[in-house]
Amino acid sequence: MFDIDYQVTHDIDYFFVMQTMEKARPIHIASNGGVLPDKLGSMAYIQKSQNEAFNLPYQFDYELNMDYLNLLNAEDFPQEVDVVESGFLQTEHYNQFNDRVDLPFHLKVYAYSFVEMARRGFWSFDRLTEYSTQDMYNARYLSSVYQLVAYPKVSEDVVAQLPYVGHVFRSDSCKFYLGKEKWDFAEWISSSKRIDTVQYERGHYASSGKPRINR
Amino acid sequence: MANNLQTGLYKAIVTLKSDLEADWAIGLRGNGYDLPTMAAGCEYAGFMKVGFSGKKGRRRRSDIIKPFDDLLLTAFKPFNRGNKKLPRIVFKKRRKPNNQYETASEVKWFVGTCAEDNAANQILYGLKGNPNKPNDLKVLTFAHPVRPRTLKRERMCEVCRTLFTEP
Repeated sequence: MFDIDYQVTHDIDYFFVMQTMEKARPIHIASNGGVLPDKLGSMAYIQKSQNEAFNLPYQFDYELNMDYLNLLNAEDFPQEVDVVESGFLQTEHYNQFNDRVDLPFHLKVYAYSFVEMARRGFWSFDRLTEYSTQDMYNARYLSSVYQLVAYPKVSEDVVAQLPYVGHVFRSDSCKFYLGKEKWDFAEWISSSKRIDTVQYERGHYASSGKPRINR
Repeated sequence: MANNLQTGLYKAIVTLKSDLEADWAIGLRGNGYDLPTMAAGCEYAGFMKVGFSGKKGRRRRSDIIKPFDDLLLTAFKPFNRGNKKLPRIVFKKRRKPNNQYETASEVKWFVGTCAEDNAANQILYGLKGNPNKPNDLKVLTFAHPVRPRTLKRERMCEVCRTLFTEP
């Protein structure tokens, strides 16, 4: 696993498969400086899954979770002039939104990297850091509240063809906000015993600053 | 000037992303090749620098010059290093652990790894030996910290709000 300093200072893409009763959904999460679950596996495995995922072709249409995106404040994002001048959104990024003329510009800036993952077949989540709370440490580093941003528009018979990338680990320790969309795994999560925060083994925050490696 | 700083910050993020994408294209991933969580711009006396959050390596730790070092040591309790050197990780222990996270053995706060620290260090290190070097970190001007993945403005962390002036 990555060094704990590295985890809290980097926005790491990680992938896993959420296993349901019979089906599996590939999930992408942007860690946003959060502490990664130990069960993700070794660093080499995470690197391998990242390489596999980013080499997948775009083969799906996507949907955006507008329930969440509408909550974002446009003032928190730069003006269109600044972004266009700096070249942050390249042409290929713009092309993703050809069919979304109504989408405000700041949402395109926010969602483009998640849409890229959705077009590769992943349900793409962002980790939220809630700064309104007094408990900033927990909010910033340990918050396990994830928000669905984009997901592929697939029919049930296509689900079996979705990419299998990453490590299967129990995700019932994470709280997912799924918006209006209901999938079978959502029902599975709600029915199973769920804890609201990621539980770490004692000694994870060892005094040496290095995380315990669970293999 | 603040607008120039903010625009410069966006341009630096674009440069960083294009560099990273070139690395990703040849299969370099993971340790050292992920997007940083935060980017910050700092300005003082016409100098502008952009910093990214990252782990403090040995080389960068030696770059931290005295004012910043002293402020960190007076503001936060160092971890296991005495009061002479800047610790690798400075943390505040909780007296009563939050029940919600009682499984964690102790809670640390990461200091010196923020993008603001990186940007301020670059400014201060560039002015090393200069008589105009600031003695108070509060005079440094900062742009709004930005998350490089989404360009969303975020708020400075608790530690940086203590050390610097919030934009």
